[in-house]
Amino acid sequence: MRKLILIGLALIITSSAYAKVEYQVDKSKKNVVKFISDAPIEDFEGVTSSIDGYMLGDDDNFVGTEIYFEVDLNTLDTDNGLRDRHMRDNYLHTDKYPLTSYEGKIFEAKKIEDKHYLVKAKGKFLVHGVSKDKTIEADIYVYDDLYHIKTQFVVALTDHKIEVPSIMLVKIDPDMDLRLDFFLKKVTK
Amino acid sequence: MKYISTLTIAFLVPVLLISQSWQRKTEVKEPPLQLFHSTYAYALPTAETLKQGDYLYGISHRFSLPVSSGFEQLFGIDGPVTNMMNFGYGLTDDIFLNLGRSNRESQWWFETKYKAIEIRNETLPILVSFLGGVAYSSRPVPELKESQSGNDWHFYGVAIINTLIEEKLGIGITPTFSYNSHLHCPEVVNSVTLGAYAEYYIDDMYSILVEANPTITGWRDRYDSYTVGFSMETGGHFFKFSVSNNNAINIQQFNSGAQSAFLGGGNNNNLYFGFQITRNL
Repeated sequence: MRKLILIGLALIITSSAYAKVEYQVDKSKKNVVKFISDAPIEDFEGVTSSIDGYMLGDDDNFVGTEIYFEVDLNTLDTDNGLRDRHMRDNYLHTDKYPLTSYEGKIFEAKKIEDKHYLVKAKGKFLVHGVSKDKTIEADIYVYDDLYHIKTQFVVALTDHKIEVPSIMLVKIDPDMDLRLDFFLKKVTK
Repeated sequence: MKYISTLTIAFLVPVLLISQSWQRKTEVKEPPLQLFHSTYAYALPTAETLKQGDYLYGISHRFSLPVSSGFEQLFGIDGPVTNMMNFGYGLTDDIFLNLGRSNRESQWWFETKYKAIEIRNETLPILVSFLGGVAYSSRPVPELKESQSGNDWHFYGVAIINTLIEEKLGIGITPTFSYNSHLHCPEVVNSVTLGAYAEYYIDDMYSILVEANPTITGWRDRYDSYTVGFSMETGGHFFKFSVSNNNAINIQQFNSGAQSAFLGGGNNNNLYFGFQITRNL
């Protein structure tokens, strides 16, 4: 009898934990991740749909939600095979560091309008094997069992020990603009 | 003790249940195996192709006056010159099409390269491609047609085997069969050559390269061909500079042998300066 009471108490205490729900990146949707560089000679965009990851938190409140997303950098397509190769081999060194990721927790959430939230997260952004603290803002649109997330932030290449590429001896922008537009689907356990 | 274990289970089970279940669904994608940086070492082809949908435009010069003509002739750059342009296209990631024109014998040529085998090995990665080409020497001046014999059509096939050692030293061999290897032979003559080249990548931008193309059997001009040079790679461009004892540039004409000796103290040891600019689009 005591055992049952104890288990019951434990379950009550941890019952709030049961409310946590997990959303995972929905690969069937059109997910887009863009790495954008402005250069005096040549602008380029590296585009991929190869994003994966999850959000784990309360269904009715984004604050405290854990987030993890990663992108396979080997899939970056700059619309030019030689440039893809330069990006992989000379700058991102994807043979050693194939993934870039963001891992953090949402600490602020504001309802903008029905189904539209603006959230802020603190976490670590990892690329080229170097992890840096980063606070990002994101728009989240909630549709039934689906989250649609849009965010963009700037990464200073030198912060991550990435050599700033040059084209014909002209250095390109040392900041890379990242834009993410992707979907997550609720996981049913 | 009993209570402790019961409590532990009671707390742990829910905690385990609420931890995320996400796992990476797909393996990290392996990029294509690429050993050399460009589709040609200099005159000889590498096993590389273009990404599907990519274009390539190239322009090449090989000056007819030798480097030994000195400063007065600007080491041969005053000309005349063998001039070639080519336009390549990646039909798929593994099939490369290339159309070119050389002013030497007014030759048009078309090649298809197929990347057939990739062996991923940390010590000795290997790429094997096959190239088939056809060339037509149009000789548009009627007098030339009358005064020179020979068959205008040429065909050639190349097996290309490449490796890359320590990500620095690219090595390739290109056994080649050429049908009607020389335009001016009265009868069709064939040649088998065993091309070989090495390119050392000094850094991301610069490399040095050597090519040799000995004829194993069949027709050959007076000497086997050798080329040494360096390459600069920047943005989408390759700039290649070289000297060679063969002043032909495209595979079909290069395979028919050199007019001068590469080394030696004789009167016929001329080297010709050349450069190529290739733009990948």
